[in-house]
Amino acid sequence: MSWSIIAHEDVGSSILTQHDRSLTDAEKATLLRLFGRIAQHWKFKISPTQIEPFARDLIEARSVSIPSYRPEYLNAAMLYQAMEAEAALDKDKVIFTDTIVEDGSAATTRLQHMKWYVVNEFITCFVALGGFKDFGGRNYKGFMGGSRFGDTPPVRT
Amino acid sequence: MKKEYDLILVGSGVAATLVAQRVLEAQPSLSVLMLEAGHPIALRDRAAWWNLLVSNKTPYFRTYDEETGANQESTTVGSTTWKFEESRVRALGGSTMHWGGWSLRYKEEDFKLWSRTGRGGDWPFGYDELEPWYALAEQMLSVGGVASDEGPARSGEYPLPPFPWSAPERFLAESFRNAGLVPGHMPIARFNRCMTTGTCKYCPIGSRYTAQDHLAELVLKYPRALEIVTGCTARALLMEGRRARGLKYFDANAGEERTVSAERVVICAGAYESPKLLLQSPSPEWPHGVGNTTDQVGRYLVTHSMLTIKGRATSNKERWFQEYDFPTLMSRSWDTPERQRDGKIFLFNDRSRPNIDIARLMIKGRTRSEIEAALEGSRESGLHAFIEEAGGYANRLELGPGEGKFKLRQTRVQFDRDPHVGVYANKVLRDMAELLQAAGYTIIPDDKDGLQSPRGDHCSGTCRMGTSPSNSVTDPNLQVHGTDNVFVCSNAVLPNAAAVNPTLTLAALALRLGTHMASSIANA
Repeated sequence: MSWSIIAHEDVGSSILTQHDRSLTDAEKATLLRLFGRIAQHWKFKISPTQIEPFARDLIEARSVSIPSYRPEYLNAAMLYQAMEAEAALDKDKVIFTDTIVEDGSAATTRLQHMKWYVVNEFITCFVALGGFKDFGGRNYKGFMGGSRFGDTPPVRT
Repeated sequence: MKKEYDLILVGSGVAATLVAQRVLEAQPSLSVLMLEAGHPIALRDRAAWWNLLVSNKTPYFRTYDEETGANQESTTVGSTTWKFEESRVRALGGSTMHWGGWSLRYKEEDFKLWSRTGRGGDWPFGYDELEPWYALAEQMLSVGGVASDEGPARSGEYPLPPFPWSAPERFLAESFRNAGLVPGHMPIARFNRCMTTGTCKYCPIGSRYTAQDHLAELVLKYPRALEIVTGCTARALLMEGRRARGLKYFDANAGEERTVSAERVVICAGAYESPKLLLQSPSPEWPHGVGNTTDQVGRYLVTHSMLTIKGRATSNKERWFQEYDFPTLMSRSWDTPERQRDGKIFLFNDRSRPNIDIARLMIKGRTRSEIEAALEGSRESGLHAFIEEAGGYANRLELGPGEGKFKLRQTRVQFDRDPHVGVYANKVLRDMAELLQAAGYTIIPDDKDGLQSPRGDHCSGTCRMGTSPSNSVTDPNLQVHGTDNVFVCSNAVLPNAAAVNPTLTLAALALRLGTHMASSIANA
């Protein structure tokens, strides 16, 4: 089935929950490929592999503790696989530029669900767990790394 | 759960925790019961941590007071709206589960505020009495700060160094100096390493002190002596003349009301619940509630309100953005004994500025170059100050008509702002604007800025301590006047709010009470 048909399928209350099960390794790998596109699209110098362990933890933690997230991840993996199958498709443009969802209640299609529940959180994770350093900081709102007792202060001083 | 205990602590925040620690250190064979109406918050929970980081949802928001709607549990009356929202956490560990860790001492002159200014209240003892307990509290809470910063006299250094000022804070500190203010480092209670509590709104690495963490240690250390029960709401003291023989409480786990006996009771339930429990405990000897012979319980509600101002500079070529999510720059220079006649002020920087939410721009679909342009385009900075709302006898807390969450009685607050607060606030806001302008910022007009509504976060005074039942609820040792074995150890006993976060002062009082109580038990 074309990615476009899947993407714009309206997500009723049952479509997502019908497929509630654990993620396979292949599906997790698909999600991490999606995560890695953040660095490519915004031309981050930091390698996504440096932040990938955090993304794995995010997926694991939310899959286990918030049952409703498993279908969201499954939906995103399925849709992204469908997008990958169409070589000519500019996936980054569709996901990062053309699909803007800033309110979860406005997410009705599979693509919008993928953007709100998965991609937006991946972006926040990517920036807070290291991406911000590309813009000059040592730390970032929502995250704090390093020790205040080391030779290097945890922030620009 | 036993039927009888040597000591019952109502509440499980920093005060109850430190009283329990001091008593059990000295008397490890005692039986201590801690009753908490709320429940534990998930600590070191990766899912909770992620939920906070990516969704900005704290794991304790459901414990906050509901001010409106079908489940309304608090009401404000009087000419000034009192804000309850997000001001306290009702859970194991109390409000340390959401506090910012700011750990400031009161100043020497705060202990005689009424005598010197005609506003607020006097303490029944001076700063010197509390100083050793402040020092111990700083050790217990792992406070980092600079001893040479402006402030009251200290007997020693802070146990930990401070968080250094960030670059924009250092820039603002220069403006402070040029205006004759002494910039200082915010003393903050945070451990060295991340505890990954997943509860720290201001510091998601979770190194902040929480009483729940502390209690976990105490339970391990005193497994036979300390018993903590959650979901249990104290409903009344069971009085026999001057003595409390125990408590009546509602056990939400069992769905029924129960009683428990105790040799002594310490109410550590904050500035709202502490007076409410006394008021809910009438008896033939105490027809208007325990300790309320002269209508003092719930009176003299004081707090400090926020002053807010912000400005914008035309460029941000340094690419500064917020790297902490808490302020580390503050000044107490405007809080001089002379200016305290007009009001008490505590100045600190706006933790949320300068800010560029890079992730938010990416989510909005902005390109890399657009984000870079936004970052360098302009820079905002802001200042906040706490201004003391000393209030008076008429500002009070009372029992509301029904029950809210956790089966706690509703809270009713009567508050009328002293007109002088508004006058002095305007002067201070002008001074704050001059500080920002001197640093190169143009003030951003915003109706939401200025003097904010009084809030419950740091309120105190509803069971204030003093020398006589005619002007207070407890004596200098926090024992309720006219009782043999009932104590209050919460912000309620503080006669003033001193325009700073009260937690360190409460911790000092709790250590002092716990130590004295252990001695009196030993002597008995």
